[in-house]
Amino acid sequence: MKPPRWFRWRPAAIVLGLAVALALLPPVARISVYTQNQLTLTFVTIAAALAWNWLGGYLGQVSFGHAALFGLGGFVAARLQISAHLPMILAWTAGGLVAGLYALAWGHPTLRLRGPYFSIATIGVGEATRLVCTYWDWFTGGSSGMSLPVTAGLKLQLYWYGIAIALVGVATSYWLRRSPLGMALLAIKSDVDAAGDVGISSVRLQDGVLFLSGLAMGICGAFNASYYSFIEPVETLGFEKSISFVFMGVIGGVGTILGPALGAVVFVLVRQYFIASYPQLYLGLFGVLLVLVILFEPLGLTGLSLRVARRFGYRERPDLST
Amino acid sequence: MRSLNLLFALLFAQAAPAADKIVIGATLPLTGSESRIGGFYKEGYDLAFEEANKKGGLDVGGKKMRAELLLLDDTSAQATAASLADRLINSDKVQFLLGTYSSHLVEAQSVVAEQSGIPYVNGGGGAIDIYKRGFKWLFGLLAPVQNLSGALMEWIDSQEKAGKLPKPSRVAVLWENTAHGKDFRQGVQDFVGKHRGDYLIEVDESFELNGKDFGALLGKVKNARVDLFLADAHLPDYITMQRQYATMGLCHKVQSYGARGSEKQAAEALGKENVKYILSSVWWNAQLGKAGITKHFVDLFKARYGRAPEWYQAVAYETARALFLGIEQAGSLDHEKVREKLAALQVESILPGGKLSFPAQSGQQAIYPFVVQQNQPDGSSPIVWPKESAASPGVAPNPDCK
Repeated sequence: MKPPRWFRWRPAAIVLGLAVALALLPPVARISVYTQNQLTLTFVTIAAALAWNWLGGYLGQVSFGHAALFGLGGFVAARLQISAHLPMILAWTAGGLVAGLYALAWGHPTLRLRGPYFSIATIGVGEATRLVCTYWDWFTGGSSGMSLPVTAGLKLQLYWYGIAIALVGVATSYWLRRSPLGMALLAIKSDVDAAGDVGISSVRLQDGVLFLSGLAMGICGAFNASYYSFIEPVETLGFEKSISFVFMGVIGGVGTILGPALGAVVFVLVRQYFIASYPQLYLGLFGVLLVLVILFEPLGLTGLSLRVARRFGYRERPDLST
Repeated sequence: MRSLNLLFALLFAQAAPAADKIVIGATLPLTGSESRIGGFYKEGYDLAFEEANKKGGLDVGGKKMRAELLLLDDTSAQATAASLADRLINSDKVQFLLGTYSSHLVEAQSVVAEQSGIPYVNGGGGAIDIYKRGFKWLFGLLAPVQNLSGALMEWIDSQEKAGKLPKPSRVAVLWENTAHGKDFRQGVQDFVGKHRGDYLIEVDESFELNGKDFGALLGKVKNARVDLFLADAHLPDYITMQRQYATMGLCHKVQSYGARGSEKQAAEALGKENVKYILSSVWWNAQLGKAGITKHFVDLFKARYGRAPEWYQAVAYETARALFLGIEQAGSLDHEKVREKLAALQVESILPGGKLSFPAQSGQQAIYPFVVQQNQPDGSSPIVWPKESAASPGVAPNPDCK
């Protein structure tokens, strides 16, 4: 069977090779537990940043409420593991599906809005979800949240699951960007009315992408709850969490395939470093970084790396610009 | 992949602990909503470490070892508290952990210690849910919050029996929507359940932690015309709520914010007039320091900081001292041996009751009596309950209420 025309073997082989190498790190290279844990967090953050980018980058619908999907997936998965004793992976899947459906429930009407109006609506959704979860005591545990059982050896398992989730995130990003579907999304982003005139069903496609984004966000939230063996609504569903996804996209390059993944790596490393050494500075630093990127390099780290590559004579093919 | 480890080590790690010192890790909320209390706990920790090192360090199997505190700021955030505990254990390689402050942060952070199998002694988590999880490495010095509201109700009951409060008294219970708040509410409900006919709960409402506006909630209390205003709040919420309470011109025969009320910072922020007769039930009071090790602690604190300690510093000091005693009794830095000694600890303590242990039946949460204190117009907060420790009988009803 021939692969589709948009598929490229070289990047696929590079990403797969990198994933295999990362998977072999703990048993072969004996990385420290701390390094392993930081990498695990980085993998799941990469997947979440990419999931945000499918909506914010590919469709141009910037969401400030994605923490609602991240948190809801986490709470559903945690509750199913605690009360129904569902195996972890099944609980994650259920959490993802609920988050995807929840995204559709508020997204279907609000996606008719464009630009800042959609973004403002998502702020409302995020805050409302946080408040409901804070007071939905029997389900979420209230402000204190819920503890999941502590399992020996879980962190190592999560490391590998994290790689798999990030890999699926990258593959989905590639597919959404390069396939004919991706072209349709670009058309919607450029001009939704014109896209409709050439036969693209913007409602169906936008709903589909939002569901996919919610599903992935929910799974990431569920993963996060398992990683910490704990979940609570104030931080998991907070505005700061939603902003962090936007930040990763902007730093890495909104609308690009791997940009948000780079943004996620920077975010995790910088945050971990500054929060321990200069906790009062890290938010300010992120703010400065954001302003600099928006002013001087709108395509973020991706744009910067392309500029550097061009200096060294690299000429990208027209369809590889991002 | 040494280079990867090296990158993370360069970014995050401290030097490995020297053989002649014990590095103990801790996080506290030094910034964020709980920063004031975090600062108080730091004072207690610092004092305990200074005292231990002045004696040449801890006696570990006949060898004196200096105790060093590696303290990080968890910014009052749960995920950060958990992440930093991971860093302290797995990157900085601390040998033991002291806990952060406030139940919701301890609940999240203690998971990391449990996963890593490292003794975690905390003086910041009083909610019983934290200790119901069957954790082996977790030890708590704050007695259950349920007993806190129970102690408040005992004093109130003594006033009612003396004919100073109406029978039945109408009660408003306002509780923060956390495990801490739920335990407080449970304590009141249990007491009222045992004294049927003496109390009527007319308002039973929760509120969000770190709230900005309690106007609607206080309006409900105003309309209910209750006699007893019993709230459970952390310091920032106490200050916000009491400010709005005073602005609305509310006054109740008895008013309490659980463990808050006597803090000097609150009196400065709200004005002495607005914190008069507030009742608080706390884990310690400096008036207990008339003799023995409690007096020693009070004197030491006054010499170091030039003022009397509050319960926060006392509990933090005792938390560090409990860990030190566990290490010294184990005569080793082996985690399992220290854990066993902590689990079996039975020592003289500065806490009310004078004894400290971590009973297995309470999930290794210390159990001891609370002391109830009441703010007076002169700015003091004498103990009013239990009777044997009381410096004043207390005032009820509030004479300022018209």
